[in-house]
Amino acid sequence: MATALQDIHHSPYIWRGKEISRRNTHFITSEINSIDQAIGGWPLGALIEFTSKQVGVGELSLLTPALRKLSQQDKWIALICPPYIPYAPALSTNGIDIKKILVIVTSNTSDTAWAMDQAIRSKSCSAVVGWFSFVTEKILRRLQLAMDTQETLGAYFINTESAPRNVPTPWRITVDGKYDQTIINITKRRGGMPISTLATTHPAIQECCGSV
Amino acid sequence: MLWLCLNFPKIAIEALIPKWEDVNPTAIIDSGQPPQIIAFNKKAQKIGLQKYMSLSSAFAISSELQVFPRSIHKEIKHLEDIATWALQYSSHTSVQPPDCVLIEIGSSIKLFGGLESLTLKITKSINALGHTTIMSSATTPLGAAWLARSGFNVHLQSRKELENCIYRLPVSLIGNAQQVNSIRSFGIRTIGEIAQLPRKEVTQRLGADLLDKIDRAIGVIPDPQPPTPIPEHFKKKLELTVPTEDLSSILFGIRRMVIQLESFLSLRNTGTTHFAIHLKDESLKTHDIRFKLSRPSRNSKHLTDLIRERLNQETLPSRTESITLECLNESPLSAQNFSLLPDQNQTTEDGIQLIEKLRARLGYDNVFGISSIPDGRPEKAWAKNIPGKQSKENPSYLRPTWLLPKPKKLYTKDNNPLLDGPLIIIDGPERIETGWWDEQDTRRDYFVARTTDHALIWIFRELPEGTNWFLHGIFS
Amino acid sequence: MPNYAELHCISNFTFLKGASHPEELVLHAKNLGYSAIAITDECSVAGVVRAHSVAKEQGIKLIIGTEVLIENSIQLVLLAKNRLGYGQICELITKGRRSAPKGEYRITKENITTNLSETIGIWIPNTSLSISQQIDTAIFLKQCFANAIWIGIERIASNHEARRLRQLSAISREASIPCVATGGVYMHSRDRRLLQDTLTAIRLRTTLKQAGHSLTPNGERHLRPITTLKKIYSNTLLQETINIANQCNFSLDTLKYEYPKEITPENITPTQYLKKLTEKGLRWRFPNGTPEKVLALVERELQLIRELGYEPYFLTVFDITDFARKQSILFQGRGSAANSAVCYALGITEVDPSRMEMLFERFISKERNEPPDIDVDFENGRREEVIQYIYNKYGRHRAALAATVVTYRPKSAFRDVGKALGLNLEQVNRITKNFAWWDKNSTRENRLQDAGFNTKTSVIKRLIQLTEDLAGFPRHLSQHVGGFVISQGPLSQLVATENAAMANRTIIQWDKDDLDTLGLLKVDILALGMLSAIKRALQLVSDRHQKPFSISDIPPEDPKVYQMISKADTIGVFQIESRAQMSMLPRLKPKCFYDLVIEVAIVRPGPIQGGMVHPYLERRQNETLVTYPSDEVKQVLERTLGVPIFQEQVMQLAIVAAGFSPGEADQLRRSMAAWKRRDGLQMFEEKLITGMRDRGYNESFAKQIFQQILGFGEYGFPESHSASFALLVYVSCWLKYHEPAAFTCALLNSQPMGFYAPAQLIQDAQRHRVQILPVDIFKSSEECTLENNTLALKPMIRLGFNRVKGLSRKAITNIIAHRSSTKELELLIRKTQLSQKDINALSDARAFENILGNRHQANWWAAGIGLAPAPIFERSITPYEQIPLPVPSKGEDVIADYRSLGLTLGDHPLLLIRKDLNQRNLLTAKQLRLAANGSLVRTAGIVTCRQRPGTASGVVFVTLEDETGYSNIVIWRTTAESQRKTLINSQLLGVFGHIERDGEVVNLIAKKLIDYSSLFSNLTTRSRDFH
Repeated sequence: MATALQDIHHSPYIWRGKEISRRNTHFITSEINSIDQAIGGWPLGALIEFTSKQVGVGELSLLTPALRKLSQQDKWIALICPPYIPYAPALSTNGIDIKKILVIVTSNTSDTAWAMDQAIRSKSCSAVVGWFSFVTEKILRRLQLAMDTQETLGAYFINTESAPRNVPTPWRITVDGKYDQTIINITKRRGGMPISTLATTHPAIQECCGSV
Repeated sequence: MLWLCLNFPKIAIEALIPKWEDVNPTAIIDSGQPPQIIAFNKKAQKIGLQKYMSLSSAFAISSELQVFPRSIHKEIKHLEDIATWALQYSSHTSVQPPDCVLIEIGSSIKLFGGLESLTLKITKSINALGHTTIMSSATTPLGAAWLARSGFNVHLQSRKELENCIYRLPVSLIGNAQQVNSIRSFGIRTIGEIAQLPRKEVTQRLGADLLDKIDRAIGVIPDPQPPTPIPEHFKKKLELTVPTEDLSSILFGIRRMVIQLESFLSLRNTGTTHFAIHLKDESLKTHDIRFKLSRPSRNSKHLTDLIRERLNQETLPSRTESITLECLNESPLSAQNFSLLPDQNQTTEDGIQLIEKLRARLGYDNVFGISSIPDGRPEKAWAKNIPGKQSKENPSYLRPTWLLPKPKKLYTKDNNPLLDGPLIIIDGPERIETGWWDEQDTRRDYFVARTTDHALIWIFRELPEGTNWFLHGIFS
Repeated sequence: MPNYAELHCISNFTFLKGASHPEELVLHAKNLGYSAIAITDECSVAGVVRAHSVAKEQGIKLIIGTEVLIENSIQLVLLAKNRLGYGQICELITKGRRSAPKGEYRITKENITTNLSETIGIWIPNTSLSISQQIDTAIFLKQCFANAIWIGIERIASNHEARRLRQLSAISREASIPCVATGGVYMHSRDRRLLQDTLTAIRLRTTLKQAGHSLTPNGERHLRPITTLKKIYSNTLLQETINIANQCNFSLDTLKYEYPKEITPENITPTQYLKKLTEKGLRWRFPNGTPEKVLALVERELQLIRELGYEPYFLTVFDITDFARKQSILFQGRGSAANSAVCYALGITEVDPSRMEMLFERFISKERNEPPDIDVDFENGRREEVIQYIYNKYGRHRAALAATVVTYRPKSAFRDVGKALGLNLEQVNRITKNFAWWDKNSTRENRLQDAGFNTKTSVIKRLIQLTEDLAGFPRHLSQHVGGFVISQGPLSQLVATENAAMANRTIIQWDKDDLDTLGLLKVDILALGMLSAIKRALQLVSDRHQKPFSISDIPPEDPKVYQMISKADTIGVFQIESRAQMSMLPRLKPKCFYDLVIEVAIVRPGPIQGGMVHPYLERRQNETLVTYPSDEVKQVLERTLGVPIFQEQVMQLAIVAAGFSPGEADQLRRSMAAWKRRDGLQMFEEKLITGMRDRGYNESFAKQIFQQILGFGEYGFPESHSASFALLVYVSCWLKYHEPAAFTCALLNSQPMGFYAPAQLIQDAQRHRVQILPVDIFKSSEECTLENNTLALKPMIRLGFNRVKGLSRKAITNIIAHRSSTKELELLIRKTQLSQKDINALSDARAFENILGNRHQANWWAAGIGLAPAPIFERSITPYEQIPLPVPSKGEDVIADYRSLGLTLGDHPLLLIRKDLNQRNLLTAKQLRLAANGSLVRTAGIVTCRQRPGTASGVVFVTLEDETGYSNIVIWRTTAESQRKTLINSQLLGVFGHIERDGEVVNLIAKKLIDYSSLFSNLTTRSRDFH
């Protein structure tokens, strides 16, 4: 593990995960200890689904450290159909180079899916993150197909209740809040068993009430 | 030889203020301390500006006055442009600084139907270029220039006549300020009076060039003029004094340059099939628009039409600072049949293409970047932006990842805010009182609160101690 | 139940940051029930005296302190525990300010490790630094201050406040430094938030829009109600403020001024020494025996001085003037104490008490407890010698200049606020250009409308409001024109000092009013141009008569001089040469010295605004009009015929007629000029009017007095001051009448000064039959000189080389050095190696005219001189050859004269175009003086003066000059504005209007203005056949 951690520091931010997968998945550190330790960071080139019952439990914050690293590349970070305004001061406080952010507003699922697909395939995005209020298996299959050929961080958020039960998405993660904690359950992952109840402090709590 | 001299008495202002901007009383000042008014437009004349007036007296007359410092560099540039443009009337034109252009018309006068018709033609075109001019002609270049500078519209074909006229002109024409001052200190007022003084003594006191100039002016000694070279390449830039987004202003400026392009092409007896317009905005970002014609042309009206049509479809920079017109190729003229083929964007960068593609389907406004703006008011601390544009930093305050487009009013119970149940305040208040200067004085106490569902939200209460609570952000 | 003391609070003397006057802060703290307030301006004590007077008045404890930023990282508030601690703070500020450029300071950690034993430190930690850095700082401060250091806890509803508070309590525990509640106050009330933001934008030279997070996030940095503080601070933190306040027991009242010792010789007390000097002086002043009246006066004055212990002050001033006398530097004392008999005896003033009807007992008032005031004017060229003498005698650590607080004027406030609000440069210029020389505050809104701004828009409303708030705010400290503070010990123990803009000058951080408030000594060392002129004139007169001639040789009360004055023939004299003064003279017809004292005082904005002028004139013409409502009032006003004219009279009226105590009367005068102008006066108005009504005066009289007080506040002259000025008026008038050549010559050599340009002085002299001779290369000196005309026995003025424009100083000295060796122009020029520029300047000034003929010929010769080969022998010089050049016309000569010398000795330019003027029915100034009242006339003249007095509600006064004299034009506001273009542009102005006569005063009331400047161009036209 120690060498792996060193890799994070010295080599580029991408390192090869230890776990064996169908193909060689690349990971980017999430900079969240519990996640990095459990699964080695966020996979690239594989679609990740985040579901939560409500917004505000720290779900987007799970990605922000990774986005900060990715924003150092000369590529876009595409945010597609975000539910609210991605608030620039907060993102830049998190260290994200906000000039890399590309916000794409769509009015229906098929546009969202199309835009995500375009963004993934264009080779010009280091991360493609979408928000669905509803999605179909077919759409997700196509997106995953696009992801297969890329080294992009691809993720989508969807309300727990709207997410289809069986999806081709290789990574599925549910996020819940419990007081100061953000609770993470990895319900599906490539080349591994589900992992439940990883916990991290909600970053907002960290900031306003964090230890001195 | 017969020289036509075009004097531009208002070049100082015309070089700086394009005609379409000429709406307010405007004056040009020199770099003196205190500055003096050296030129002004009609409006300023009307309200009583006078040449060599001090700037403060001018302001005392009108506080509306717009003032710009003189740019000799730009004046000369304009004169050079005019000399080049005038090559269509003669193979020999020349700039006579600081304010004249000479055209040798002896050999071409017949071609243009006589002096009167020629001067009429020139006056009309000069006006279209946005200049005012006074013209005189004489057998010597300097003679013509002195006449025109003195404000005469005369055409003298004989040497004797010229000499008589020149001798009556004031000494101010013939030397630098220091020379003129010493000539005047001897009580001498006209060029003729100098000519009568002992030649050797004058040369001793005022230098040899002075009498030389008189000799050249009256044709005693020759006065060769450096001809204006026919340019190899056409690229003209027009700086706007006031950045504008007004299409008609931009077109006005472009038209002026297209007229010059036409003259350039006709000199070279060619047309163009490929030219470009570069609009530079305040951030010095350039907006390039390329034009391809299927057949070469130099007709200024035709070219202007094409440009207008195209610009109507383009999204122009919000505040254009300068316009450049560049001719990218020339070819011999053929039949007058044109069509416009918009040029393909040469930049094939994936990122730009992605944006174009997305915009094409989702609409221009639905694809944007975001920037952070240093402003105490949360809703003003961000803005939509051109993707990829650098923005200023805000301090690292505690702020939510999601901001609501509009604060959402919360229900309250006993003055306590509710959102799907009671809220628990985690942090705050952070008091924000700012923004009063632009009608949006924002006075709020912000709190971080937790919902019963364990979501963290950003809420505020209006001040002074109001009871209205609002949801403004979510810590996603 | 703990109360609260605000221990960290800056005023607007922390320039462009603090948004309230110190007075406002103290008053507000009192109203909120605080038990104490500290004024802790950043590295400054400039605002504390103002705070002190209000604190005293309001009965709230004031703590003196300062806030400093040490090495850009440690923000520390220092509070004085006692007198010693106050001295330590001043010392530290002085050190910090003196080691940095003006307006900045530099304080190092080193600076605070020692010599702050009697101060309390409150550390305001910078939370953007890391915890370990902060703990290091805590340990360092603990070492410096031991148990006298606290951590200031600011609760200002900022972002991350909770986290910061936890940090601070951790540091407090770690370093065992207690915490205390502090407000970090920038303004007295939240309302000033807008102004505070504006100040920030101005300070950063940006707009409010661009200022972003440099602005204070909210308005919490104000003095908050104690109930609010209790909600956010624990009792312990609040109680700690009281504990600290209780340890701070220093009041500025305890500052005791110690006079320098060296002014008194050993073995003699100051009292004895002053008495001795005074007696010696009386013997000198009155060689034939001192008049009884004066002796009694001296006796009384010395007694008063002794009672109040002011001997050292008089001795200090004596020491300075004695130095000046020994160096023969001309001076004249003025100010309330200057015209005492003692000062006359000591030679500080020339105003002879035996000649004066002044009430000298008022020169220092026991009740007012105010230091005596003596200002000394020195001739302006030599004041620096006196200043250097003071520095040398007392040392720079003991002598420094008082500060002048430069405050925002409406115009500068407009400009800065406008910029901050984001008006663009053109708009800001448009506004300030419209604050032309005639604008008053009250017309601001109209002016803005004129400038094309909609005053109903919120931006402009805000602009007006903020400008009003900002006007009067201090901007920076500048040096007082000459107010010196001299102390026994180092000054820095008394008040902090800092660098002035001028190299090698240091100023204290207090201004003249502050010194007054604290009763500290100040000597005003001022410069006066007229003294230089008088000095020169006296010298010329002495030279001519070949015996010394001084002011005391000028015979008093010369009726011929008063006759001249009564005709307003006063061009060039001191004070009474202005347009307003000249129009008053024929009405007032001064007949004695005291009339001059009145004349000087009456033509001032104060008496004019108070409406005193007309009643006084009426009563002078008809004494039966003089009545007094009571004997007390009679006593005060008798010498001015029942009309209050001097500042003291108005104050005295408040005392005798309305029952004010002298202290109150003085407070009234001060509050007039000070910050609380708008709200501070009501109280006095009521008190005055009831007081007078109670004493049986009718209300209209009372209201009139109040109006007069209003006018006087800023603009009134004290009587003693007028008396000193009047003396110089008399002296200059006597010289003008009896020695017109010497006087004009002296004025010409003292330029620039006064209202009139050399051309006008020369013309005036010519009208008085003084002959003026042109510049001559062989005869002129550097300055203008007198030449004796043996025939007329009257001296003539020879213009000096210093009048020639463009002639170098080196050339002048060379010419004077070499011209005795040759009479040959060409040789002289070669010997002196003049540059071509110098030669041209001389020839154009007609300095060669005697030798070479007219200007054109001379210029031609001069242009060639540098080129011709040098002749070997004097004899071989070729004779000057005449060249066929045009002969200059009179007009050309006049124009060239003006260009080269700024004046002409030839005909007046208007005489040359008189024919043109006659054709247009334009009268001369002389004809105008004879015109009947009400008649419609036309005239034209050269505009010599345009004035728009602040008091004359928009009227423009123009003085026109022609070959016969001057005419006075009055242009009412509407006329001036509708014909502004002509008014401003014309050199030769034509006026159509009607005559208004009042005795000998003739004014032309303008209806129509015409620009005749083009007539001048006729001057240079001439026939073509020029040879």
